[in-house]
Amino acid sequence: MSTRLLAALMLVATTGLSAQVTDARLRSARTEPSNWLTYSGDLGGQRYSPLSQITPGNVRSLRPAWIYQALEPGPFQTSPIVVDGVMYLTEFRGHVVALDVRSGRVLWRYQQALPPTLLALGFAPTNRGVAVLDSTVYVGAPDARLIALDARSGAVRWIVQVADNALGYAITGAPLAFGDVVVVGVSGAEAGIRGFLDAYDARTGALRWRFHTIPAPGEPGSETWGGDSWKTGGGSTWLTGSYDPSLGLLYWGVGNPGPLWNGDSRPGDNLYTCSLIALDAATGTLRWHFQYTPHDTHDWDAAQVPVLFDARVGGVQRPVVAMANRNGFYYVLDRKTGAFLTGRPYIEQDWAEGLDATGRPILRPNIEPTDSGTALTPNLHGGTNWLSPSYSPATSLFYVAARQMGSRYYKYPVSYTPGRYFLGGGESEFGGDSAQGAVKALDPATGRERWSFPLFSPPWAGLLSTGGGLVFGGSNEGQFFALDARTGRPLWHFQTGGMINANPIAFSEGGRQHVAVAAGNALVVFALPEVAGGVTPR
Amino acid sequence: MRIPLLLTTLCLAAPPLPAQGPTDPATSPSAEDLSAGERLFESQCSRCHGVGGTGGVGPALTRPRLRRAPTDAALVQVILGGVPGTAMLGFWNLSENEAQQVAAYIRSLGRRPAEVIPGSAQSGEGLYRERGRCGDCHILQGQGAGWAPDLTEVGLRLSASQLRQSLVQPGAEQPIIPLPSVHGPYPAYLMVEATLRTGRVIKGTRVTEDDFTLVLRDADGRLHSLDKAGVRRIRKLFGESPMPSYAGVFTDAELDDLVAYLASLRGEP
Repeated sequence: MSTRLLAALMLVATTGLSAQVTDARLRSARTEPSNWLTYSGDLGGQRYSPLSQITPGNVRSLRPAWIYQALEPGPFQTSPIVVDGVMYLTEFRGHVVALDVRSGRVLWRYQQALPPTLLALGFAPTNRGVAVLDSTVYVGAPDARLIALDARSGAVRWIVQVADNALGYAITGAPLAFGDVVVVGVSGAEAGIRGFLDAYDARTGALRWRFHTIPAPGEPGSETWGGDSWKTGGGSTWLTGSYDPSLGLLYWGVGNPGPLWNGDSRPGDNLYTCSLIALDAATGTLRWHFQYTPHDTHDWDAAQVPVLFDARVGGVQRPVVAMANRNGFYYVLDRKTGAFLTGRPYIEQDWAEGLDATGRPILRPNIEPTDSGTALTPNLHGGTNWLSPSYSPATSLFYVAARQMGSRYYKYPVSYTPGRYFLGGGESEFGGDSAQGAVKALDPATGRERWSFPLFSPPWAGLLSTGGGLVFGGSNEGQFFALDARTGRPLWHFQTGGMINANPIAFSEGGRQHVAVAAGNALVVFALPEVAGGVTPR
Repeated sequence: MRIPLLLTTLCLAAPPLPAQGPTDPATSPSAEDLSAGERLFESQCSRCHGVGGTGGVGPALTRPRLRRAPTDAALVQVILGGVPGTAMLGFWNLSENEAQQVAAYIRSLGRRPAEVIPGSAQSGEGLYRERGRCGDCHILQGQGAGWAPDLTEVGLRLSASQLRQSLVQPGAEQPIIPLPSVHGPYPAYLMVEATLRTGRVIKGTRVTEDDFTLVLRDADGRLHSLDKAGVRRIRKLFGESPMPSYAGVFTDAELDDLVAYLASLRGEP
């Protein structure tokens, strides 16, 4: 055996042994950009990679390095995690696959066993990714189970039934793991669930705490519901939130109230639907909340990724949490107190005159859904949706994939039946060439638009910004593209052949930066070409 | 892990079963079913099938017999499950009862008095083949040229008044076929004028489009695959059509004949 081969084997063995994602590594995920350790790449939800090998100067040479074809057809919305040479991703229905990031070959597969009676009311049984902590991979299942898998083998460590799928509860989002807990939210407001956010002991699966997003009578906020409406009040927690370890606060967006389009039975603001909640991560107690859309009747969930960064707002440098909300407004809040700092629309909307000094929307008249329909922008899918925004510390810009689309909102009578739709209306979106999209760069402190790159149709793909000065995004028509992060100028695009309905990530393997995105039923992984001597062009 | 308290409260909140027993709104609808079906239809279906089911991107439903849904049960199945391989997607958000109400409303459209089509389909066929030279652009039951929409089933998609308007004012309505491999009903056959950076102007119907690509077919039938980076200006000419108006070409009676012929085209041999 040659010394070189021996050295190579030892390197591989060492890599294998180091596959322990400690809490310390998660807290400083940004310092190891060759990996992508959480849903958003860091606990703060920035979806920014410091990797700088791919630049505006060389991005036109970017090409596929390998492709993984999902076995389960269906919307492929995964955001992969990359740890020490292994990529963990989920397919439609929540199957988990571990891949060798050099070759793209499958290391193991975990196949979900789902009941034939699976309920998915209001969404497809999709899955947006896993969380990894220590040597365990955590995944939610569409029948509302949380599953812990051994990271090396895919073997099951434990399974917890988070809620009853027969009532419409489901899990589609990636869990968020840190410390010694794994936090997971639920879907199901379209079936009239009472939403909550759970934290489980990462080792045993024991419930640490549960925060109900709809307060029960007597609890603060219960005065914002009428009668028994809180019992079916919705408030899903279906998209991954963010965590600030220094404050010990967990930030999570809460979805729409139930019934969706008919608010007659739930007079009041309906806390904490369509809100951002800040919870003490150790206990699950509410520290503060901010409601973007009081008494929502348009399905404008606050299920967007809250993005944590520091910014100079009103002349003061402070920790903030920003959200480009589904209701069409961009908001900046004080991360410690939840105080509203600033907000402005990032799309053309016509439901609110603006925001008052507290951030509450100043409503225009006649915006409620009606029997004959009410035309309004944005449509139910919002100015953006679960597709991730990105914040670049390099450019100090906030990037959002924006949807410009209106619709006609209808209201019907509604009554609750367990495990059935609880909607009370419908929507007929305005299709055709009036529906458009854009990648927009916003001043993170004010929300003012710095540049906008037009997209043919309202996008369903998130964004990634990089230290190389690029923003990567995707379109419904299959184009994966790179924009100049400072100007928005298009620099490169690649037709993947399938709708891009996922968030891009970046990692490094063998000294080469890679960018990966799910498109159609394939995960496409891009890198610059290797040249003689193994040096990648700079 | 179940939540016993929640489960109990939800069961208590459930409404009682309807007193009249399990009748199927699709086959024996009440007035309330029909009105609920109409509301659902207008909010969920009319974008493609037109207000009142008069047709548009999707076929008109104002007819007694629906080819893909010969029975009420089949119609409910189409509503809930969609038609594979077409733009008709299943409506996941409807309960079975709601789908039955929509089905009942659609059936009621088919029972309305049929449109009076005064012309002679036989004379219309002659006009289509000879003086109209429609087959120079359109394909029909495999015959003709495929530059323009296939008319084999046009009688299923458009009402007589829509057919007449498309002959007299071809650009007035959006083209009826959506672009393939595009998310949402963006119309194909839309007239687009692209001014290239070189100054050259290309005008044609849109075959496909995305963020970086525009493919047009010009009046000579040539495809132009354009990289938008090389295009200075794109004008979408809503209201224009490559099809000439037949208003001055045919008399009113002849137009009636042509409409009668087109209305008879149901895709059946």
